[in-house]
Amino acid sequence: MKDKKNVLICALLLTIMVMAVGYAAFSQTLNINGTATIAGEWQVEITGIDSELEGAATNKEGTPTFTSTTATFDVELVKPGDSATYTITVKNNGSIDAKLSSITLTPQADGSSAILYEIVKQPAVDSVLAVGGTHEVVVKVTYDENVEEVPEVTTKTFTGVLEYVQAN
Amino acid sequence: MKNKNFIIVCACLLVTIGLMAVGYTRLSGIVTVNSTATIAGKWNVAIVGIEEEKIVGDASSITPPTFTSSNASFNAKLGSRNSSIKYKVTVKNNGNITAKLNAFQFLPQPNENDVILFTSENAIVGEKLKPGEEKYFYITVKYNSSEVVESQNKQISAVYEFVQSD
Repeated sequence: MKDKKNVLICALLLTIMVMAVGYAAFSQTLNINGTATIAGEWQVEITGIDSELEGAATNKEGTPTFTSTTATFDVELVKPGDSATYTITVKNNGSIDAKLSSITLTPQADGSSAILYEIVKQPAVDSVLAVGGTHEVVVKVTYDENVEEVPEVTTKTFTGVLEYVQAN
Repeated sequence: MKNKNFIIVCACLLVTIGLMAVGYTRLSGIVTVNSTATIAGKWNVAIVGIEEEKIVGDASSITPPTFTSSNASFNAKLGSRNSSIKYKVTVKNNGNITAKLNAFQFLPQPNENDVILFTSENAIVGEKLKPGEEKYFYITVKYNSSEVVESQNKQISAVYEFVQSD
């Protein structure tokens, strides 16, 4: 009788153990691991400046020049009618489309009245500069041909600022 | 006469008692029950696939997403603002026990202002997954900024806990 009782207890214990193992196995955790990298490259830059001289106009030594953010020209105009035309190239060498958000081209207000700046070509505000694309700004500076005597003020500067932002 | 009747009664009584004794003896015995129980339940909830579901902008996978039965991984690249990529993860109940999604969480917990923002879709806690059924879970990673930022990297884990359904 005692043996039967022991066998029954063992059987019950075995059943409980199997139930415990079974319950522990009925759960599962699934993991999804994600990595993200912002790898966009912003690189809108000046890539060149070319000049076209007329008359006796000459570029001062060492100019025109440019860096990725600044183009510089310095021209000497000898006689009325002399002119120099500069083409500045802006290129999108990055991986993100850009757009021109603003452009300001400003000649010196109190500079020589005999020196005339003309914006021959400029990109439109909000125009897109796609990846790999270029914009050109063309500026012409002229010694006013109508001037009859050498002016007192003989220099005039010009500043152009182009602001690019990411295109939507 | 009296003695004869007494003997007969005694004999009858003895016979009766004897029969009762024999009957009682025959109405008890050892009964044995033999039984065998087998647990035939099979638990198998597993990841069976991961793929790109939707790409917005110039987002892309640096390497193809991969998976095992319990882990899926992706490595995405986001080029420009608002670019995003959504991955579809397929989970299947290959067992014969109904499961249910007991819990879901991102680790670490994302913030809506994160520049690299992870979001999920279709993780419904309590939803059942019957044997043989598949379910899709979606994870989206987005370049979430109004400004262009310098290179940035972020890692996250989405954890789905399945348990046996009641």
